[in-house]
Amino acid sequence: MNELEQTQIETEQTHPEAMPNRVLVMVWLVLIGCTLVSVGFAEGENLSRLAAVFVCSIAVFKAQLVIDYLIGLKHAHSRIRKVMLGYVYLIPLIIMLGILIPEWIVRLTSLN
Amino acid sequence: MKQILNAEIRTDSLPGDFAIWIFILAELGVFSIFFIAYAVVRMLNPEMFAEGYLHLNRAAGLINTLALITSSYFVVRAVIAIKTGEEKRCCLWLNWAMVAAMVYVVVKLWEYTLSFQAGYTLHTNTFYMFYYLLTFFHFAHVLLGMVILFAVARKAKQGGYTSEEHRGVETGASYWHMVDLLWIILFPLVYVIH
Repeated sequence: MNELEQTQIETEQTHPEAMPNRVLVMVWLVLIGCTLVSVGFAEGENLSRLAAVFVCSIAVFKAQLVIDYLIGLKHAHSRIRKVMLGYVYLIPLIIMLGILIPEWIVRLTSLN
Repeated sequence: MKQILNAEIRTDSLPGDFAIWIFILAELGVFSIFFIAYAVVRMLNPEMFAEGYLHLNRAAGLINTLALITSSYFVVRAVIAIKTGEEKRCCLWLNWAMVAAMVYVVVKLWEYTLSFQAGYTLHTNTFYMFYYLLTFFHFAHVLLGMVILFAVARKAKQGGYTSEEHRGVETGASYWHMVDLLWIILFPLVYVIH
């Protein structure tokens, strides 16, 4: 067992909330992969409504990974985690509604 | 058994100082106003925003996203390092995080330069007003985050943090992740959805 593996095991024993390095690397790779998939959608001339909703969903998924694994709220303060998750669900949801039912939102937000 | 283990792990502790979380939630609130305003104004001016989108530098947006995600990854490694009492390694990871953040800064300045040279300014139209305000407001947060990371790295190098007392590292890390989180929402909103 090398020094790095020993340090990793010690970290997991002394700080159970600290995730193993392999999980962290996996999270980083998934975030990178999701970003590339999102950009792939942007290449088309006109993004369909369904594709735009899919892109928003990817953003929500990425944000949840950041909250749970990078910030480390998965095993920490549950109230703050709920507030943060609520935020990253609510804002993209509003954006998605604007994509799916723009006419209705325009009527709601204009004075005419 | 797994549930029992999870229950043991779950605590009410916050990563970082409580005050930074008040600040983070306030910042998220301010950005939410920008995000919602941008989405609503785009609905009201679909042609203008579609035209503006065509002139955006999506490659710059992509590079910046990858830089911020990678920077956040380095910051987590720094937090793990200080928890195991490796001050030097913590400082090293924070330095790498700042290098990744510098990539963001350089690319963003390049993007602004190209945009200004093409004649697009804050006064061009509503799209560009929102584009500059949103992205520059975020850019300012990145700069502040870099100052915080620098201060934390310096203190870590001087032995100011230990495996028992490392709240400052967690506080700086939490702020930096917020900057990353905001970009994760901003990037598809401005650079992808059209």
